[in-house]
Amino acid sequence: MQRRASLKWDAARPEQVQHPQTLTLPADHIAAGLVIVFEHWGEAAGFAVVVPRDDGRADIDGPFVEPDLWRGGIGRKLVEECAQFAMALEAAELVAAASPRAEPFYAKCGFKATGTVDTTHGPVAVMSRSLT
Amino acid sequence: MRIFLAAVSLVALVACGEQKPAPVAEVTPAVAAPAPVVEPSPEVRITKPEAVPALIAGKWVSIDDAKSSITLTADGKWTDNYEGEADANDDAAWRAISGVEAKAASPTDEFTPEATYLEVKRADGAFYYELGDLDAENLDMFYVGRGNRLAYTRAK
Repeated sequence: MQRRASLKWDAARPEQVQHPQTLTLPADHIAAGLVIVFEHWGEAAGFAVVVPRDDGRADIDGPFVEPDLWRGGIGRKLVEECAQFAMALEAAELVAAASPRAEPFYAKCGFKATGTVDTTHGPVAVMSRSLT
Repeated sequence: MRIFLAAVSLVALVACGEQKPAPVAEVTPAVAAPAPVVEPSPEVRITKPEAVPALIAGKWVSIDDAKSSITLTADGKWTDNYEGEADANDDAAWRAISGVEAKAASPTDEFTPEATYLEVKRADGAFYYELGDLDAENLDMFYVGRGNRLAYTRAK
């Protein structure tokens, strides 16, 4: 699903194909119970990951949603669930590494740009949302 | 669609799983047994592609999430809305086609020739939905790729 969503999102991005590990969900995230799944019609239709950091904040990876269900609010629901989960983990902020196409989405979800970070896809915006 | 297929599969499994012959019951009917009542099978209602534009034009609200809606025009414009926000750069084009036409457009997908499909073309590709119910108040369709149902009611 992550591969479908990511490549559909920006099919012209060759870096994602060159770094397939960026398109897979780490098994230890699943084992640790950090993955939030949205089901539609009895099947997983989207997911997002919350990863606690040592600095009292938490990273959000995703949301990744099946492309045929984009624009229907599933991504926003996943972000809200992630925010609730991060609060339960006593995180003070939810932090996202946002590609240029994802920035407007995170902004709608209450995130604000706070800087940039280097990734395998090049520098992207860091956006955060206060949870306090 | 998926439920239907699952039901068919279940019937098939039950049928295949019946290994032993059923015990013969001792039947001594005194009178002729009444003929079994045969329920009429639900009529399959297919809206022909040419009838779709007039029926589907308008705003439809998702059954799953009332904040989500789609607006379709009879001349083929499709706009997604969430909480009243539409992305002006994200409009799509739609058309109603037969399963035969859909197969020609997307050979790798499975289509039923006599069914009607909505082809939705976006900047990120084409999506195919099998049309289910379509009337003045209800619209539902099934995404061909995964079989999931998307259901809407007409906005008031």
